[in-house]
Amino acid sequence: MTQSEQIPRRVLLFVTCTVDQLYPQIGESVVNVLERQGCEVDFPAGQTCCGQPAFNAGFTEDAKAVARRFLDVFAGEDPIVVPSGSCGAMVRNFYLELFHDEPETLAKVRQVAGRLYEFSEFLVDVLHRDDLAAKMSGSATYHQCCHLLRELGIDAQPKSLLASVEGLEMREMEQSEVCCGFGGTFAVKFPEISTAMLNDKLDYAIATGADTLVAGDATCLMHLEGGVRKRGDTLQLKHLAQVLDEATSTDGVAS
Amino acid sequence: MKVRTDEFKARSAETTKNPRRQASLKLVYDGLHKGRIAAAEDTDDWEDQRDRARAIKWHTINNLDYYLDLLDKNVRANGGNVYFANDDAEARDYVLGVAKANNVKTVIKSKSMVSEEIGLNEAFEEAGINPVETDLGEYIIQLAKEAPYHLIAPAIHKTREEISDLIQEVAGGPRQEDPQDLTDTARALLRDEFRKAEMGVSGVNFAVAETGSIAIVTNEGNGRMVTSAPRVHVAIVGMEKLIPSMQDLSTMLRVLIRSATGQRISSYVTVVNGPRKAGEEDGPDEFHLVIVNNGRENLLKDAQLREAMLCLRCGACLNACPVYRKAGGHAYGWVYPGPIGAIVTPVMTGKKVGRDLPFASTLCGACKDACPVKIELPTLLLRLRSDLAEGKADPKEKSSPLLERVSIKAWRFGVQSPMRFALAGRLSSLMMAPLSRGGWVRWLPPPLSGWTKSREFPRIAGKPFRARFRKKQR
Amino acid sequence: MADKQDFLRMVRTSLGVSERRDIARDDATSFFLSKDEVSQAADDIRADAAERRTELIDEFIHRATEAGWNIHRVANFEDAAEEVTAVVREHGATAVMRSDHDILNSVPLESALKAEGVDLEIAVREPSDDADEDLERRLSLREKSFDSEVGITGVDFAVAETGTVAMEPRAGSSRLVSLTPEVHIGVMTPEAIIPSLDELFALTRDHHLSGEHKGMINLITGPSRTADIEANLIIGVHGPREVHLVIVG
Ligand code: SF4
Repeated sequence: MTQSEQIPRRVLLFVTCTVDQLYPQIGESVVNVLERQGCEVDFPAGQTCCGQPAFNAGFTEDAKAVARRFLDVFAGEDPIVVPSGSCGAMVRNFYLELFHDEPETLAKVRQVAGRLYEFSEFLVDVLHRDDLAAKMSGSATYHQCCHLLRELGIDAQPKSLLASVEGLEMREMEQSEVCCGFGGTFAVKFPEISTAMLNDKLDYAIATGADTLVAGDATCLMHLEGGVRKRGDTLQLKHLAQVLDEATSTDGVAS
Repeated sequence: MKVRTDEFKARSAETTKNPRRQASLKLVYDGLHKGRIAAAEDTDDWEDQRDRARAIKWHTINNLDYYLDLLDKNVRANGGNVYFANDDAEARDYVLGVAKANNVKTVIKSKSMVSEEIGLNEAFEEAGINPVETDLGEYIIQLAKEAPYHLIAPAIHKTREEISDLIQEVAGGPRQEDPQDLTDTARALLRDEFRKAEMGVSGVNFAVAETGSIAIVTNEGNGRMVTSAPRVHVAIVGMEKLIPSMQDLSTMLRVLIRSATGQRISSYVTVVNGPRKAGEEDGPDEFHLVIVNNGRENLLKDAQLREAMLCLRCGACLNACPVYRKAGGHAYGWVYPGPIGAIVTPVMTGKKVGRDLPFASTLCGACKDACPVKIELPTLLLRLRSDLAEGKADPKEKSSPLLERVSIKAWRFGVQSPMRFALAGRLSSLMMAPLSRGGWVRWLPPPLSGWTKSREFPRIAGKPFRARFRKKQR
Repeated sequence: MADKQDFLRMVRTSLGVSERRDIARDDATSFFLSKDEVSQAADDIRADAAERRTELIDEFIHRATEAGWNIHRVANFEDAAEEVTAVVREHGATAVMRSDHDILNSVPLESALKAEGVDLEIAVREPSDDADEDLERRLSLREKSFDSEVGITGVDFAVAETGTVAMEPRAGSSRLVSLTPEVHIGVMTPEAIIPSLDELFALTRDHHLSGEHKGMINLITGPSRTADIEANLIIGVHGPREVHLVIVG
């Protein structure tokens, strides 16, 4: 590849609080995939959360305090990779809203947001890898997570990565762009609506006959997997990074 | 109309359990939502049209006093009357006054959401005047004595069996279930009303300041009937529905109609320039335009919420909204359902009582993508959330539960230090241990039980990513 | 009762603006175009439409057909009368009404329909200076419109973008003849076709600014329809179920 000179080697991983605490295996897959593409992954140890939970609940002052901290932890020049559309959107879009009347912080936001890439976006648009010579058998269907799709406009990247996995049959589900019903505290405040949305999503995914449902956000996966377990479905849930990790791992299994 | 926004939780939960309503709500996605997408794809310069429509509306709203003044002058110059109504009672009284002065017994109405706001039908009935809704959907819900379920498809929740019962009750005769037969029967019933009504009441899609015109978009032809057959025409308009020039109609009609129904244009667009002109063969002798505030000033006076005044009431955000498509239209408790309703209703009728509405969204962003004038609906919902959570706009509006405030403070304290964060994780993991099996928790106490009723929750990892990463580094 | 000035003051206070201020020109709206600019644009539109006639006819027919119009292209006014008569015959209609639009005075409809035994009613009344009498006459015309089975009208504009026809009701051109009968037949020439809604409203605005103010502009696109029962498309609610356009030339 001729662009190799411009391809960054060192990346900062913003793993997100959900992955850190609930889905560490997704974080490991992200590291594996990036390392196999020649990146050196660094994990700024000061990181915790981007502040989205407070922001979404209407507590903007608390969100601001946490967001300021995030901006400090991720200061620097290296690109930042995040395996989540939602946390990515928080930093790239909603920080602008949060700090709209603080010009100095806004400048920091722009600097950090300008270096922040969602995982699939980083692979395809920055590393220019949309075919990782990946191999895996089975069938999968892709759920377009809301913030990834609509806030960040990232859709072609994960789809092309999945399409490039040899042996993996992709099947499109009905209403794949419709929200799974998570929405943070929404899922707890309005459980009936949330569950009705979740059930539609799972029904559509299962109707494709695919064995795995792939998505790009751990929070959505947590919601979907929680539902699958309660319902007793056999559908498997995977983050895109897990699929790519498994499919590029030399010994055939994710490490 | 009575405000029932405080019943959102109960009413929406009930709708999720009603298979008939769920089937109707699926039609909203399959028909209207997909129709809009197809229409947008079929319009070469769709994004430009949206941007232009947005700019036209912003310009108008930012100079609303100027254009209201101009509209008033020009409607009068055309021979019409204008009445400015500050609230629902003023609007009702004026319209009733016009009806009484003209000895009106029957009023034919074409769809007007503002008339729902002001409870006009009830007022007519109390005054012994017979109001007849003539849009088929509105007619159906009038027979059912219900509120509209959707901005442009008011009876979308009614099954043909239910409609059949309602029509049979007024028409008698054999029971019909075929939509064509039901429509034919309604047509015949309403024909008689069109012939005899002395007054027509309509809504307004756009009021053109420069020419004193109003534009009404319909597919059935009832809007034309209402504005052409009776001697008196009263149009009721929310004060935000203005545009400066007649030439702006092309852009506005394009984005409105394509977003509303997916049609390139509706069967009819009726531009009324006041009463019948001398010499004209037909048309009303009297024309009245009632311009209504009724709480809209609460939107207008807030620089951020003002954006909701750009709304064309096309319904696209409802169709796009997965929450609306589960909760149904009535849950929103007033006239305007869906994402735009979750914004304008609390602001117009009381934030605290409608406090659930801005939270009834996953912030998935589908509404924003669909909105023809690109209203930042999720941002406005977030703004209202912060008004309610922390009293951002007015401390008196603060109404977050204590438990929530305490939790947020605890969370903030925890995530402000990686050490505390890791420790909190470890503690939670331990606490969850007795509740979990195979790494998943099946039951959590209230309020988290809302989650575990239908979903398991992953147990906090005993070894978080940060620990694993450190180990790997070494 | 809310006073207009109070109402406007409320709006100004809400907006935080003062009464005396300049409204900044914004070219998103056409509002700031001068009367002359609008007239000039109207002339250009007519010239452009004349030049692109063939293309516009094709586009109009495509969109109009899509919208549910039955299109009849004929060479001359005699053939137009034939087409109209055929539609009337097919419906076995006896109550047929037409407006007094200029174009219809060139179509020999009366004789063609007479041969079918149909008396064609013209939707005009003799205006009276006596208000009550005039109302009486208008009401009787209204009754007849409601009783008609077929309504025949001219067309003032035809919009290629959407397959729409537009009419400006006036003396001789009733509002109801195209609405109340089950069948509506519009008769037009290709000269009526303009490219899009932009041109339509530029031309009607020009009319208005030039003092030719009409009571209404009716845009009609295909038959009356609804989707209010379980989202089923049903044709023919309050307006015509069947619509035809006869394009002469
Ligand atoms: S907010 Fe936008 S999408 Fe929703 S009804 Fe208003 S104009 Fe339509």
